[in-house]
Amino acid sequence: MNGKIIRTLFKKDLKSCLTNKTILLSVLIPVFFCLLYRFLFSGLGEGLEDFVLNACAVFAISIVPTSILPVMIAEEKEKYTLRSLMLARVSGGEFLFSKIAVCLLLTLADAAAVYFLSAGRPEDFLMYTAIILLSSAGLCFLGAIAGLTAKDQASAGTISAPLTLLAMLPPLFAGFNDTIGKIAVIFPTTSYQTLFTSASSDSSLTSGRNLAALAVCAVWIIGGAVLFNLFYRKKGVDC
Amino acid sequence: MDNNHFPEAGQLIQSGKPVHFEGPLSTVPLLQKCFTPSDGFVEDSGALYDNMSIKQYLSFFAGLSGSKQQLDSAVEQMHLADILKKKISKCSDGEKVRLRIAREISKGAEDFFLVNPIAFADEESKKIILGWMETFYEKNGRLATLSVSHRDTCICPGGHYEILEEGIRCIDQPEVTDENPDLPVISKISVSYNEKTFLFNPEEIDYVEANDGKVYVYVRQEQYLGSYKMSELEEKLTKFGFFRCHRSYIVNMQKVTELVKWTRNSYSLRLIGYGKTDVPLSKGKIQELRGMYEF
Repeated sequence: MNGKIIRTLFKKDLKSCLTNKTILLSVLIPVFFCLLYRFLFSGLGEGLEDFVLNACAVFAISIVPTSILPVMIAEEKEKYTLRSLMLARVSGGEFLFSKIAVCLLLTLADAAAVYFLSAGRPEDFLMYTAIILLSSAGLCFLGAIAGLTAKDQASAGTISAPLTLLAMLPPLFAGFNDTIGKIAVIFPTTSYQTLFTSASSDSSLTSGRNLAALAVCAVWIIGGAVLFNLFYRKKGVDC
Repeated sequence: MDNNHFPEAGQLIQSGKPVHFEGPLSTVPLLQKCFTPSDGFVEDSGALYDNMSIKQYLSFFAGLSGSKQQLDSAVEQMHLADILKKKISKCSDGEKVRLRIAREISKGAEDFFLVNPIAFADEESKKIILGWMETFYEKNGRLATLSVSHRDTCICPGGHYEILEEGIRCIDQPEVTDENPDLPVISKISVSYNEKTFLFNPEEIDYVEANDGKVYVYVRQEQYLGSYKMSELEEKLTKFGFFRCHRSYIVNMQKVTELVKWTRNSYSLRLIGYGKTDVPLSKGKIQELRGMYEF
């Protein structure tokens, strides 16, 4: 992979995301809900900020990698710009690396906005950022596979909608009953909640639950990378 | 058409002068095989980032290929300097083709393959692109185009070929005629349309086009299938003021309103009622036409 090409692609992809109204709206969903929850539940008193942060960070981790990334990839296919990139000797790996990097940056920006709007403690921010990265990286591979599968932006939307729900809902409903709670553990979004709750309450990250959450993130990243690699080798970027 | 005909296409492309093919878009991948990935490929649609300006788009591709030194030359060759800040979404179809060509020039390509290079109405862009094509007479680079339109193929400066099922046919080649001195002298031209036969007075005919092995007669913007060969029609129509302006075209000079000069080697004629539809005029015929009509 050529660093110069990735840098050029990254600049273009980031700028294109920031000027695309649909993508911007999707990025703003967690921020919007953060403001809405704070307004609606303002009378609930203590614990509100933690609840809002937990919920909205999960939105950020779920929405950007599983719904924006597929659309970004599919848009290039649909408009045949991917073909012109390939003819400009851009490799499929470079193309996807840049998209994933932009997606992670947007996730971090989204999560950071949510963090400060929910009055998160500044001293926990670095740990928060690290946990966000860890839990969203695996989902990026899933989003990239969805993007490779989709022929155009419309089909990318159709494919990504269930993925987004799959990533978003388990941690939100984990507390409803034990069964859902046990199933929710295998999702990286639940891992985020587990790890950040521990980190913000100054508990040890090496406890059993936290190690399990870290393992889940690792499995999603490694499994996602392997699956993505297999898929990419078989299908390519389909231009 | 199968792959076996494409060594022939490859030889034509290697010949040194610009080569223009008329054929279906399905032949694009096969013609592309005559080029290498480092050569310039100009697609006929898509492949543009609408939210970028022309300058941003060219700089982006120059950045990818690391050949920014070609950027100024690309802008100059495609006359884009005045519209560098224009958003691609606001560009005309012709400007978009110029931009795609500039993108390939800025990548440092020397050989080019263009698809439907002048299939748009913007005259200025057409002139710029045809002028650029003509420079290939003096360059080392190879240039090939594929147009769906017979008319567009014939206007491009260079050799003209038609891609058929059975192989590649030279459009510029003189046709074989059956000499038949016993043909009756007629002053009506028979044509068919929807399985009906019509008889037109020669004066009613605007122009005649030979394409795809058939002869089409145009009357009041309607296309009819002719029953004669081009050489027969030329013989019959010359005395009514018609002129064989191209191997594939006979035009009624009474209907001609404009002679368009695209480049040194590329001309066309415009007719009353046909808007900006161009009837190609061979370079070799221009002197003949000048002699006849003293312009």
